[in-house]
Amino acid sequence: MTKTTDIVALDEWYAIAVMADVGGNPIRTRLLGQDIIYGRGPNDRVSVHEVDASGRPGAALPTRERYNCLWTSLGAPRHEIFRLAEAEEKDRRVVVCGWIKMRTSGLRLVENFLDMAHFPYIHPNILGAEPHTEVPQYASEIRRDVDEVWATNCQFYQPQIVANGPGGMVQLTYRVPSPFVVMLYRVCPSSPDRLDVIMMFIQPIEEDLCRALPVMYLIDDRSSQIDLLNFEQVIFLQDRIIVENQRPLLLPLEPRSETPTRADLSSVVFRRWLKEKGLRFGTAEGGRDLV
Amino acid sequence: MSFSGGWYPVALSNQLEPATSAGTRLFDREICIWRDSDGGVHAWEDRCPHRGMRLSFGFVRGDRIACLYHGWQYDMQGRCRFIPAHPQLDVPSTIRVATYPCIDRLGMVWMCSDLKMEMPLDLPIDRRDIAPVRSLYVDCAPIATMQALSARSECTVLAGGALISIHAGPQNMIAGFQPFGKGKTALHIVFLGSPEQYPGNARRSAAVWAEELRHDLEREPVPDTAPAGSYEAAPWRS
Repeated sequence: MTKTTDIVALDEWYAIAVMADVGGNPIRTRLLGQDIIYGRGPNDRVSVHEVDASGRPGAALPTRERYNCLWTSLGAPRHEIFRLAEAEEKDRRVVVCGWIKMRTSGLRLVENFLDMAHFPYIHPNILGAEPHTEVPQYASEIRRDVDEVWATNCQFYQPQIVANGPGGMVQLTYRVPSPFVVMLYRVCPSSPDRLDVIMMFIQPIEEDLCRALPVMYLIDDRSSQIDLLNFEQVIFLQDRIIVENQRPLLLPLEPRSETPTRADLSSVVFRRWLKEKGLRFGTAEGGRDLV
Repeated sequence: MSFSGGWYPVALSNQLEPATSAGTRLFDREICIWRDSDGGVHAWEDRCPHRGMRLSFGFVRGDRIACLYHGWQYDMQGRCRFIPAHPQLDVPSTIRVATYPCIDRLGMVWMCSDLKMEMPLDLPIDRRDIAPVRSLYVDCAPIATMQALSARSECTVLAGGALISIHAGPQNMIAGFQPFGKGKTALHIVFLGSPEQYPGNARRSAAVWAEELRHDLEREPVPDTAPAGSYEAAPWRS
């Protein structure tokens, strides 16, 4: 496909690579339908370029290095990349997981990340367990001052809050700082006055194709790196079965096309926010006709 | 010729066991077929109205099917009866899945392609003793498949194209004809008679006949689309 004409999508920042993977050899990838190329020049300067129709590097794109990732935009971003206060704390452990490519709209992935009700079914005995299926009432809103979606006072029963520990209610806060970035704050098991942060950066490749990168800022000096990576990998592969089999693959913004309940409040607010912004890329209304 | 709305077979009955579900297509529409614990068959739109998840990935418990994603339970009429995220909620009767008429006949699961059509399934053959052979999924358009089949074997087209009586070799086979979608057709092949009348080698030779048919149909129109090696690797060749 070719570069989207959706200005709202073009003007956002997107994580497109893990910094550790940006080297002297240029790497080609695709963002919003546009082929781009990134790499490190002879003076160690990182650059991202569009690839023009003849296959040669074209216009240079803006870049940022944040949260261990290289970010770029195909448009003119009207704000900086969101700020995460926890990332500035010196004792945080940063875990950058691998990219996972999925045949669906990145927006479906954001909604799945916001959803607690699927934990007992898709992540049984990890993030949830029958018969503890109830989603207690929580709040969700568009925060106008920062133009972000938040869901607060979220609680859900998890069978193991710490590895091999007893089950109980976890306290979660969700935040959507831009349409293709979503994160959650979780009361830290080992240090209850602080919050672990789990983020998911999405690179929308095409309307119905994306890749996602989980990045975590944790208070955890006990878990091994491989255990943390394996945990995230299992979760995301379980989610993939869902998001690749939702119909349509593109996110419907028309309120009556699906059936939300109170547990889906954050999804309702997220869709309303996207509609207000006028985002079309990856939505059933603005995208191509798919299945 | 063309295929019109009506009843079509979408699976061999013995391939859809009690308390299981499967996904298929009819005229490119995604369909969930499932069999309840009492043996009844159901053909529904393959989409949970909640978040669009395909219901064919769901799980059957007793007389209900539950969506894999959030466990929403639907009764045999397609009405949602339980939402686990809100266990106390009296589920509104408006939450339902579109259901198609569906029935077991001639060793096949049949569904009516039209949600609103209320015509009974009227087949020219009515037998209970059926020896199932196999289902065959061919990357070939329904009309082209029908034409190639007629050119190869002596065929009698029945039930508006939904059934074909095929005279190939010593036995007469019956193939249920499923217009799966653009460029894809499924044939559900059976013998009329009890499985004892058609022992292993009779059914095996029919399966080989079907496989060769698929080979030819997929090779003739677009030679490059036949995946190399897939036939040689097939277990019935060894």
